Amino acid sequence: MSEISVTEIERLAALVRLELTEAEKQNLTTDLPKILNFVEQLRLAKLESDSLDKEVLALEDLRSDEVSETNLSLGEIEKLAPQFKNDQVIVPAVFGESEDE
Amino acid sequence: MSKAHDYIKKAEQQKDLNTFLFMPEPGAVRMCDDGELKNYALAIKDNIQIKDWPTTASSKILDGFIAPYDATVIKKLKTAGAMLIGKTNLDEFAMGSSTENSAFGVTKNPWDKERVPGGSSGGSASAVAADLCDAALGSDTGGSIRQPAAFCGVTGLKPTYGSVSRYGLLALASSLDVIGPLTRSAEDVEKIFQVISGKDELDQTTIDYNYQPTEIDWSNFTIGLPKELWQIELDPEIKAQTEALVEFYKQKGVKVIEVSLPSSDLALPAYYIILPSEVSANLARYDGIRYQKSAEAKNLLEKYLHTRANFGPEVKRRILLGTYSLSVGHYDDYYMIAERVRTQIKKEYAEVFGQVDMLITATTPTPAFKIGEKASDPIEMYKSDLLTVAANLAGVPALSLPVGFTKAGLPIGAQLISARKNDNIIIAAAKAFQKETDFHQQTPKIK
Repeated sequence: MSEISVTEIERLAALVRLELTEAEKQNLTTDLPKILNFVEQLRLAKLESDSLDKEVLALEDLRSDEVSETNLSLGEIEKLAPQFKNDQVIVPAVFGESEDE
Repeated sequence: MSKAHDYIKKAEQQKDLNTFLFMPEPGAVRMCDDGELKNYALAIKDNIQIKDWPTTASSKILDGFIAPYDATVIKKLKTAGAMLIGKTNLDEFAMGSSTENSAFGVTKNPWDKERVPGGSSGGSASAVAADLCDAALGSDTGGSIRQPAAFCGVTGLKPTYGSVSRYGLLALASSLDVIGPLTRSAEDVEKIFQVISGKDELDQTTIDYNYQPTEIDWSNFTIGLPKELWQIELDPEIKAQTEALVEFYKQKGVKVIEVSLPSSDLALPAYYIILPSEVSANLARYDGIRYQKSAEAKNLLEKYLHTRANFGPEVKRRILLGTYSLSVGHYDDYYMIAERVRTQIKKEYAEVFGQVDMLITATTPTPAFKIGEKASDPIEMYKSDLLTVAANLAGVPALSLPVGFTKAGLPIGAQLISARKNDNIIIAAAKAFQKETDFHQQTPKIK
């Protein structure tokens, strides 16, 4: 039976920037091991080959990465972004605290 | 008054089904006199973008998001003259089998309002069953079109992976997601699939695909019954009606043989590693910066944390599970093995389709379950997809069609599966069955 501690849940949550309540953490310590036990049979699978299907591995025939008319206009981006000023999306400070505008 | 207006009015009267998340004002529905889908009123699952309409994927994290462009399938529907009459409910970001994971409440099954419509395309299936539209679009990552189609007594196609563009579909697991139609009849499935399929330069996983309807020569046709999928514990009434479907084709003169797909029992576990792994990457974009929903925060980290707190419990669970299986120390034991299992499943399906033209299985082990019945046990809920996930892993087309009713009056669906790009075979087989039966024409008496 796999076990996952609250500390490990917190570590995973920090990696993917998820905020969890105490109740959510408790539920996850029950649910995640249940799911991991369910998928455990994969590790016992007798697989014919180590190789992966080419579709599983990568895309083929990639188009070139060029600006096209399907890109959104600045006006459209302004509508989407929560904060937008001088044709730029405003992002909070990475270090320290954001200054009031 | 127009047909679209009638449907919108009817949906208003059936509001307690909680089928639609958004409907335009009747006067705002775009009408068209021309095109192969003129006169078709379509409902669209709310994870597919329609320009200038809200798109929520049934998540609070997309509050206030108005789609800036049309998904490729929507562009194609509009060009074909279809009327778009609303956005349907789903499990949050299509993660679920019942619509109970929607942030906007569960959709009810029109055949029995105490039961779920299935999921994640439960709103789309419910809308077709309750006659609130002519047809609907859903998306299928592990069974999300076929399972609700079976629960609601409608016909639903999960097309060949890559045959329909995913551009404008909110990504769940990009290597498995495919958009497809839910309708009353296989004939309408074909009509819509013909319009929405084809290569799209905006989705690099699309393949060269030019759908051509076909007629089946029954005397030269072999059906396979995968023994591993028939050994799964099935509701006896579902088993009997699926056997009756096999018998129908036997009467046409087909050959029926038992076949083996040895890795079938590994499909669901592999799916529950691959899907969350892709989810954990795909949902990173909901960060409080790219979309309207954005929490107050002093710095960037807080912005991420507080905004992403808006995800529901199932979404958080899958993001964490994916992060776990992709993390150092677990990647080789989980993710890589799951991908190898997927490779093996693809190979087994390809081999089986060297022997047979089509597979038949039940679509679901049970009929529609009660609201709340499986909500507390994720594994029990995941098992709703036992019979459907392998087709996604193999990338092959699969269709669920109504084949009868339980004594309690709940619809039963059976699944037809064919080789990649042979969507036309399962559609033709379903059309042949529906020509001589009327299960697909039954409508619920909604109380």
